[in-house]
Amino acid sequence: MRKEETVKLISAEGFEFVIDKKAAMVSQTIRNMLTSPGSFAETQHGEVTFPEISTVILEKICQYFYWSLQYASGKETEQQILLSIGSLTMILLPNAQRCEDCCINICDCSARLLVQCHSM
Amino acid sequence: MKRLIEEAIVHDGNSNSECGRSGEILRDKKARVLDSNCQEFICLQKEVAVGIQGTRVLNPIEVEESDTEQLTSGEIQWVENQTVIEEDKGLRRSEGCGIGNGLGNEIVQGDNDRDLGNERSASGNLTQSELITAFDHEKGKVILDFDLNVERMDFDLNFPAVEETKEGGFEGGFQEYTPVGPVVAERQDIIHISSDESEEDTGEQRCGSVNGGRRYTREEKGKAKLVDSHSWLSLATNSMQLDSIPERQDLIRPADSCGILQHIDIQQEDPPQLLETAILQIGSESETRAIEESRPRTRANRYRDVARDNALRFARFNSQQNNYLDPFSQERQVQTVQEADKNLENFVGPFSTAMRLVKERNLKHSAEQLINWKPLDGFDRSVVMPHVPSLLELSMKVLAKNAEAIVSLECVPDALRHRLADILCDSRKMNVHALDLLVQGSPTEIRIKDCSWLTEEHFTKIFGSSDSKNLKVLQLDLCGQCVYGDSLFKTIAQSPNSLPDLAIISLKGACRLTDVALKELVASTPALRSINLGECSLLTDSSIFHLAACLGPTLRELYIDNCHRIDARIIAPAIFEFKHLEVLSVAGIQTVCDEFVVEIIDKCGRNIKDLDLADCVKLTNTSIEVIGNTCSGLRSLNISNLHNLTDLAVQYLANGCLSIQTLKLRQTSFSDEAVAAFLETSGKSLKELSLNNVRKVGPNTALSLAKSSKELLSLDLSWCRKITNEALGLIVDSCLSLKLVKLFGCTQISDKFLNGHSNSQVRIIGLNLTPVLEHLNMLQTEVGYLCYSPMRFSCEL
Repeated sequence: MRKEETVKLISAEGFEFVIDKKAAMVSQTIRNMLTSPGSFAETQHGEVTFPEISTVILEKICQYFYWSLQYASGKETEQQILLSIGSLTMILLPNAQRCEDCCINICDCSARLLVQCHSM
Repeated sequence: MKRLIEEAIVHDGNSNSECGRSGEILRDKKARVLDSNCQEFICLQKEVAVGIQGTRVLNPIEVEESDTEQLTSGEIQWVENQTVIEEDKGLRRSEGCGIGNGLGNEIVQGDNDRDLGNERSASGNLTQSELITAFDHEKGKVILDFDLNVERMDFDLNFPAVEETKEGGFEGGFQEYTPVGPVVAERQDIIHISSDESEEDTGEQRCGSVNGGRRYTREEKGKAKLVDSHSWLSLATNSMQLDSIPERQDLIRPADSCGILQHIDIQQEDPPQLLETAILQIGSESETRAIEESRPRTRANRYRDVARDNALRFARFNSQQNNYLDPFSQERQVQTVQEADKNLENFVGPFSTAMRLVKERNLKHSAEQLINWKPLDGFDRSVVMPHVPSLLELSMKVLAKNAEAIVSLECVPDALRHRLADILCDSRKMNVHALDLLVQGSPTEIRIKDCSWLTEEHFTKIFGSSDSKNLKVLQLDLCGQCVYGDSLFKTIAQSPNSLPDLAIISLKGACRLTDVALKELVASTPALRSINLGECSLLTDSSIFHLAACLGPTLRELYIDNCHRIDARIIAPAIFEFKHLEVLSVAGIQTVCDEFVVEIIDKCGRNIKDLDLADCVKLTNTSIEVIGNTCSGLRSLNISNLHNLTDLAVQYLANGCLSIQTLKLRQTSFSDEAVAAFLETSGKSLKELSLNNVRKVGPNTALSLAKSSKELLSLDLSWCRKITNEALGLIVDSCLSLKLVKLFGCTQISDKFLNGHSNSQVRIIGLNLTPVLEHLNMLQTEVGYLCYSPMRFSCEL
């Protein structure tokens, strides 16, 4: 992928996820950051930092972006993503994070939110 | 008995087989009812079954067919009640149906026809009963329209032996048939079932017996006393009451043979009620009186008198009857009001200006010509991006699916908990475990929109041990099963002030909640701002007065829809006490009248933002006038089903309520031009509009919608048959924020519109078998606290 087409998302722990710009644009927040007329640092470098979002969750969010593109063009169904989210929630426990836009909105504390997805 | 059978067979040309069967049945005291239609009898109470059987077995199938023609639609579940209906038909017929002047004669005429021994055809009966119907409707009486297939009654069911049938005596009554054999042959019509006199008077009325007219004395027939029998025979006498016009409200007295009633599931108005009451009333008192008093007169007069005397017992007040107008007279009324409207529309005001514009526009070109919309060609809808579910929605789905495995929801924000609870309730997965999760800890909000699954025991257990000191919102809708005085005392309303922060409570559907319980509840919740007591049918006026006394200055929202024990006229002074009332819902309370609305709005209507007056059918334009004049801040109004409103009401609304956002005009009778003019005047801020069944809506409205309702989110045009494809296309393509359009019953809309419009966001519901439940939560915004004003909590003050 060429650099112009990619966006880097940085998690709280410093992990960097390099994804397609189109995928990133699924999120309204990221879209605003990257395309607003003001000069965000993000616009220039093509990097967005999420200090509140943990790596695991950010990874799932990126997966969601790609899935969303596929779904919109009719190539994906919900099954896959639900499975994927299910497995995420298992890991979610103690540090559930809050993400603002379309992403998983789970509270920020050491909740014992355990969802055993054995049925999936 | 044998003779009975013989004669029955002889007389009955049509139903030989059934006769044979009936013969068998009659012989068999256990009354094995053979065909499926008669199955029902077995479950009926004994006395009744006797009589029914007698009539029924003869022509079960034939009757069915003609019944379909005859019975007025849907008034009686005739499928199940064939038997009863038929019997009553016969009986009624036999009574001469003292309906009115000439009808008795007609019946007599009918009898005379039969005297000639003609087997009346079904069509013959048809005319008879049609006559009956027509006659009745003219007079505005609603009378059962039965096909009296009397000729099928081949034997005289006026079994004298029934005198010995006492309250419980099915077998006894049955046995009595035996001696009556000969009598059976004599009568061919049921008219004579009625009472003793009928047999005496028979002179001109009795039809010749098939045997050649040997008349049996009463003693022979054994018809000594009918007086205190509780048999179906009594039904006959009582069926006279069928024809009485309900004169006043009365309760239906449960009678001995309630069996029939069980099978009658009558949902409509007068005719079924009359039937119900008549059948129920198998009491003997009326019988006696009727029989004794009416001897000397002609039959028709007699019946009429008896009917009149007994009408009060059987009449049941139909609240709708007062408003019942024939279509004709209603039309006339509407016309006169319209004339008055024309005069009043000359008032100067934005509405009348708009109205004039609309009319002028129509003069130049017809509105349809003005609609200039072409469907897009070659527009492939499948290419349009489907709605991608957000990650939040997906996560919610996962959580809902695996609700059993969730251990705790303590740190999940309230909005998400609410959403999760909603999803669980919708998919019927809500259970004790999930409820426990929601109640754990010290929650600030508990919102469960469907508690119908919750039992008292679980409710007491869960809420008894819950910590409610932080609770601000409690929503336990449909909690009829579990919420009542005791359970509340044990749980939520344990002590005064046990819910110090509770501001919003919704106990919709708490049908066991009494006034006393409510008082206790209110004592525990001093900070209450919004209370929803919809469908709490046990509440009376005293609750409202109590609420007014305790919460007068603070209550902002009051929902008492469908609390039928509350009399609007009495609680008006209580409502005055709510000085800051913003939301008031009195939908469905029939005692709401113009005076009530006028008083309320005058005193405390300035702040009202949401008014729900649906189904308060007594309201007229006067109420709307006051609303328009006073409630300038009105945001939401529901005037569904108010038939007495005319275009004048629209004028008042248009001139007065300029910032209205939600308007429900379901089933009103406003005209196309009026709605169009309203939209042009005050439709700017409309977000949700329901024109469901506003039949006159058409191209003018479409033009106005397209022009002025730019913020519209949801539009309901179900059953508006005058909206064409082009009109709808214009609306959908111009109102770009439109998300939901409901088009139930609009079969005139075709693919031309469905594939031709270019609005990619809008969801069309109601055509072509589109799935219909997905849209229910579509427009739900996040529910905050109060609808129209910010809430301040005690901790913040």
